[in-house]
Amino acid sequence: MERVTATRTRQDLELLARKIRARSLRMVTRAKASHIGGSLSAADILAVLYGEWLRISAAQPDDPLRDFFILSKGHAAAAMFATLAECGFIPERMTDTYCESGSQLIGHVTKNGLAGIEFSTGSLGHGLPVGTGLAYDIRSRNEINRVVVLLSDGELNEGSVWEALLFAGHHKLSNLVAIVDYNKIQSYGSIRNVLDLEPLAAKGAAFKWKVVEFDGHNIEEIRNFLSQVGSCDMPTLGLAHTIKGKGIHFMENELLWHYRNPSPEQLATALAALESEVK
Amino acid sequence: MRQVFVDSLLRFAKDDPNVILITGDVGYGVLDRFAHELPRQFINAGISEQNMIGVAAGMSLRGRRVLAYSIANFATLRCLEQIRNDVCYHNLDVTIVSVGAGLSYGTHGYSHFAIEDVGCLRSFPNISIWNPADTAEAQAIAELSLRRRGPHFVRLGKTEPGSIHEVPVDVEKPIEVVRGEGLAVFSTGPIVNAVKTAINSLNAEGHSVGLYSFPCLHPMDRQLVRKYVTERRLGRIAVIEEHVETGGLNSIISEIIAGSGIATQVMPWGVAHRSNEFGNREYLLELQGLSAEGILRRLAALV
Repeated sequence: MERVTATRTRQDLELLARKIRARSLRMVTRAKASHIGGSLSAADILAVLYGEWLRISAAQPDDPLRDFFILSKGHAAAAMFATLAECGFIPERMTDTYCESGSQLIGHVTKNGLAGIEFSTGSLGHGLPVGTGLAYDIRSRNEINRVVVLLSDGELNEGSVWEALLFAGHHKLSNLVAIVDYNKIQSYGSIRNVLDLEPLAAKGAAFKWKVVEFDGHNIEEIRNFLSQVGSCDMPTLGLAHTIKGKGIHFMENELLWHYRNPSPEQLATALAALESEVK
Repeated sequence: MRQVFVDSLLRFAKDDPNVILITGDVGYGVLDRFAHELPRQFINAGISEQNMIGVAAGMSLRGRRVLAYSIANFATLRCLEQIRNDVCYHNLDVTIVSVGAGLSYGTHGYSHFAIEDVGCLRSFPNISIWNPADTAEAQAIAELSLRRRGPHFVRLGKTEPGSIHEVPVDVEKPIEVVRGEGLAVFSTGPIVNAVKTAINSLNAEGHSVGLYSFPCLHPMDRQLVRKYVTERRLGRIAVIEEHVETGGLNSIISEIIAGSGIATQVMPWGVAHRSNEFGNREYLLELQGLSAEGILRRLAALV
């Protein structure tokens, strides 16, 4: 597939999402790594963010006026690195070394001097406080950058996330966006059975965030959500209803694919399924 | 000591708008002036220490020098992973200040005894750990920890100890407070004052006990410590600290001596966990033989 460079149409973004999925699958299979399910559920969100919405540039990754993106669910590293590769921040070949000893790309997002990575994560609950600090500082200087933090739903079990939600809501950090990849499955059970988050939208609103719920696999709905960022005096909480393992039918909604790496045969099946989506 | 540190911080922050003070909802009467005079450089993060450190890290990514402030173990143990992963691993310009070193908060009880913090933080990368004994050390440490890049942890006493040093001091090295031969005490933090009193009494009776204050606990100048020990022929060293014997100055010195081949006895005189003793700092230290009188008794038995 040829690399997408200008991403404006819905089809362009859908193509980018497919490429992110395909690359993530190849990476995780080759590396025998975990967490493909949570990478696949985030692919469309990452496609819209990096393909279009974030004011960032691979040519100037340190631009002081850039938007900041933090992958607080750092275990979706494959999707993140795949996105950076597809968008020109890191060399595409580098993703072949994912999780190899000596590689710059390891199992949780690591800053490591790589362009396009703002912060190292891996332990859940850290990304939103850091993003909140960035947003607070940006606002205190009257600057225009936005901060986006992508969290997992299981991550909302961590109290530090709620500390940050409380702080950001209180301080009306309208330049801050938190997106929950709400795929309803955490690492040892479903959200509903482990620690039910519902009513989650109400919780967000109670913490003084503007809450938008949307289909996390629908490009237009993701765009519509992002268009509402900064429209009022509150930070924005996006509840992206997603499917763990989205895009590969035998992986969808299966806890197993939080952990398991695909076999070469399963990879071939998965890639064929993605190719056949091209209309 | 606390006031001297905060006054230095205020002076610094007035000159440099990049200096930010963030508190975990403590500082009544101590931080009022800062909050009043520099409101744009002051944040009360509330009683959310994990978020406080995360916010500090985020702000420092944008060029701020952030001072994160609380008491006892709240700025440290409560948010240890944030200090490790967000601040130390990323080598950020964040200074963590904890007021109430050791048993300072005596009557508040065990939850407020900061006696393991050095041992915990010493394991992390990139961090400097400071434990001033008096206002002169506190002043110098304030300047260093705000100027020098990277993470810092400053452990401040609560009440005002006596003055150990007459002149400005180099806080990056162990400081000889009393010259002596043979038996020496290595100490750190507010307890140095009591140690100095005890040693002066002993030496007035003709003994020659030495005293060294260690304002900087980490990273430690190992070569310098070995040099002091060998040049001054310190055959026995008592390490007195308001910290458990594991992980603090005793462990630091023991590690240095053990790895050096120098034949010196290192005796730990730290604080023990005692769940059935309640009282103010002086009372608790007295029970542990770490008041000036207690230290005097124990040293007298050694000389």
